[in-house]
Amino acid sequence: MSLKRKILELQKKREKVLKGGGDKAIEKQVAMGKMTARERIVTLLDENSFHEYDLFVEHEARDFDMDKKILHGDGVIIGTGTIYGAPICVYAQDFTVAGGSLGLMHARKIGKIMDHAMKMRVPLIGINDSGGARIQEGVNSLAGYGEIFYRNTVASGVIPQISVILGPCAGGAVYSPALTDFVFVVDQISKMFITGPGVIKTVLGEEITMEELGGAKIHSEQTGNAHFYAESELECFNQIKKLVSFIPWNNGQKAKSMEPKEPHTEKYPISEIVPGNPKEPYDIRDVIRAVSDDSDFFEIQERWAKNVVIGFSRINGETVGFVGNQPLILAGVLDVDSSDKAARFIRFCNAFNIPLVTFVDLPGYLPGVDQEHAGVIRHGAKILYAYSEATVPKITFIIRKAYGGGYIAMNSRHLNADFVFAWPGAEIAVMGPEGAANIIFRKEIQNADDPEKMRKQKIKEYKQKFANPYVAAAKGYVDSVIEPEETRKLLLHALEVSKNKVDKRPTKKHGIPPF
Amino acid sequence: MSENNQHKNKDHHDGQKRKYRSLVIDGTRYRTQLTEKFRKREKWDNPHKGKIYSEFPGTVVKVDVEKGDEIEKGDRLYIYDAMKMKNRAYSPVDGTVTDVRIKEDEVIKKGQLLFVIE
Repeated sequence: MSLKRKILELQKKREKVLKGGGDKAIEKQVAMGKMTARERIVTLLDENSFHEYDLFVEHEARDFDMDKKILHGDGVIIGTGTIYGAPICVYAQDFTVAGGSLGLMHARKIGKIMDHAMKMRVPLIGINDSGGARIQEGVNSLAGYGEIFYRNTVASGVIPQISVILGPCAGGAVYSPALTDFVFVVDQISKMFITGPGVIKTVLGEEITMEELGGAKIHSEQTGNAHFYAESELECFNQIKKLVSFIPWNNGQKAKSMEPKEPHTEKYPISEIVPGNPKEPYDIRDVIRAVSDDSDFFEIQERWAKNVVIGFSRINGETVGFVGNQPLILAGVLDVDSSDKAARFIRFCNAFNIPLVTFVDLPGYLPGVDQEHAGVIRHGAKILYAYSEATVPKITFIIRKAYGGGYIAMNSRHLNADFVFAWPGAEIAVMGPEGAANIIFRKEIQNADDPEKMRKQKIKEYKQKFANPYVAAAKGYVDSVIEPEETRKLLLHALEVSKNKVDKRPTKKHGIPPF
Repeated sequence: MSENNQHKNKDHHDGQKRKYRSLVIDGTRYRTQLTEKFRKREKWDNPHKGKIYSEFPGTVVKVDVEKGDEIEKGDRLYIYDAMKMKNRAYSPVDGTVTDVRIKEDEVIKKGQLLFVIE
C-alpha cells in the first residue's frame, strides 16, 4: 500500500470515528437543545487550537454482548488546546456514544488527560454529559470513577480545575465536579444529583422532576454546588473563557497581567455609594467596581449566599480576589452558607497566588436556632481558618460596621492581615451601639424614671465614644483612617508594597480545617 | 438630602426597584433584603418527648403497639424497611400510647409524626 493510500485510509477512519454515536444520535442531542461534545470543545477553545488524543481507543468489555458493540472513542473526547493563548487540557463526554456512559477505557482517557494537565501544569476543563456508570462493565466503571476522584484531589491546589455540567451528571459522577474548583451549569441542560427522581419515587413516593431536584437553578441558588449559571451553552463558554483570563495556569505562577485601566468613577462615585447610617443598605459590588480596573467585577456564585460577595477584578492590570459583605442582603451577616462560600474562595486565591482584598461592613454572625443547629460554629470557623492560613497579600478596608466576631473574621489585623484601612464612617466595636448600651447600662436604664429616654441617651453616649474607627486605630489594629476617595490609590500602593511578601509557616503535611 | 432620598436614587441606577424588609441583630434594626432560604427557615419548636417522628424515609413492615397500650422505655414501636435494611425503632419514654398514625406497608417520610405517647 502506498503512503498516499494509507493517508486516505486514516482520513476514512477518522471521519467515521469523528461522528461519535452517528447521525441519529447527533440529531437526538441537538433536539435536546444541546451541542455535541466536539462542537463544545471547538466553541470553547481558540480557533483551530484543539488537538485530540486517543481518537481510536476501543473498549475491551466482553460481557452482555459488549464485544459486538463499537463505541467510538469510548464516549469521551480528550485533548489539548488554548483559551486566549493559555494552554488547556480538556475532556468532553460524548452523550451520543452509549449515553456518554463511563467504562474502563473512557475513564482511562480522562485519567490520561488529567495526568497530562498535571505534568504540563496547565488548567483542566471537564465537560460532563453522561448517563453514569456503564453497567455492563460493572466494577470497572466504579474503578474508573475512583481513579478520577483521586486525580482531582491530587491536582487540587496545583492546577485550576473547571467542571462544566452540560447534561446529566448523576450518582458517583457528581463527585468529580464537587472536587474541582469551579462548576458551571446551564439552565434546562445541567442535571446533577446523587439519586435521581426514579429512585426517590420508589423509596419515598415523592414525585419530583430532574430540573426541580438538581437543575441549574437549584445548584446555583440553593445548594451552592455550582459557581456559574448561564442561560445557554454559548454564554457558559464565554464565562469559562473570562474565568480562565483571571487565573494563573498553576500554583507556581501568577495570573497574567493585563493593560491597566481606570475605573468608571462617574458611574461609581465611591464617596456617594455608602449611606452614612449603618442601618441603611447599598450594593457592595458598586464599591468594588468603583476601585476595579474598567469597573469590571467578575462575580462568582452570585445567586447563592448573596450576603457575601466574592469574585475577581483587576487592579492596575493584576488579578485580585475580592470578598465583601453585602449589606443589601440580610444586612451582610455571616452565616453557614456565606462562611462556606467565602472560605473556599479565599483558599482558591491563596493556592493560586491571587492577592485578597476584603471590604468589611457587617453586623456580625446571623443569630437564630436554625443557624446554631446547622453548625454555624463549625462553618463560621472556616472563614477564620481560611484567612489565617492565607499567605498571599491580604488587604482589608473597613467600610462601615465591623462588629464582634464578624469584625475578627473579616481578615482583621488579628488574623494577620497585611494592611487594614478604615473609612471615617467605620464602626469597629464589640457590638452595635443599641445592643452594647442595653447590656452595659442595663441598671441605669432600669432604674431611670424614663427608661426609654435613658436608653436613647446611653446609646448616643456609646455611639459617640465607641462607634468609630479611632478606638481601634489607637491600638494599631487599623493602620490608617482614610477618605473613601483614597481607596484605589492605597490599594495600588498596598499591592505594590506586598509584591515580594514572604510569610513562612511551620512545615506540616496539611492543616485540618473545619470542614 | 436625607439618607433615605439619597438611597432611593441609587436604587434606580441599575434599573431595578428594590423592596426592603427589616432584620434585627443585637437590638439594631437594619433595612435589607431577605433571602428565600431565610424566609423558609424552620422555626424552633420545643420537642415533645412523647411525640415519635420517623427518622428515616422507608416502608413500615410491622407496627408493634396499639392505641391504649402501656409501654416502657425501650419497647419496640415498629419495624421499617429503608436502605435495603430492616430497621427497628424503640420508645424513648414510658407511657400510654394515645395515637398511632401508621399501618403496615405504609410509606413514611422523614420527620413524619408516627406515634404519640403520654
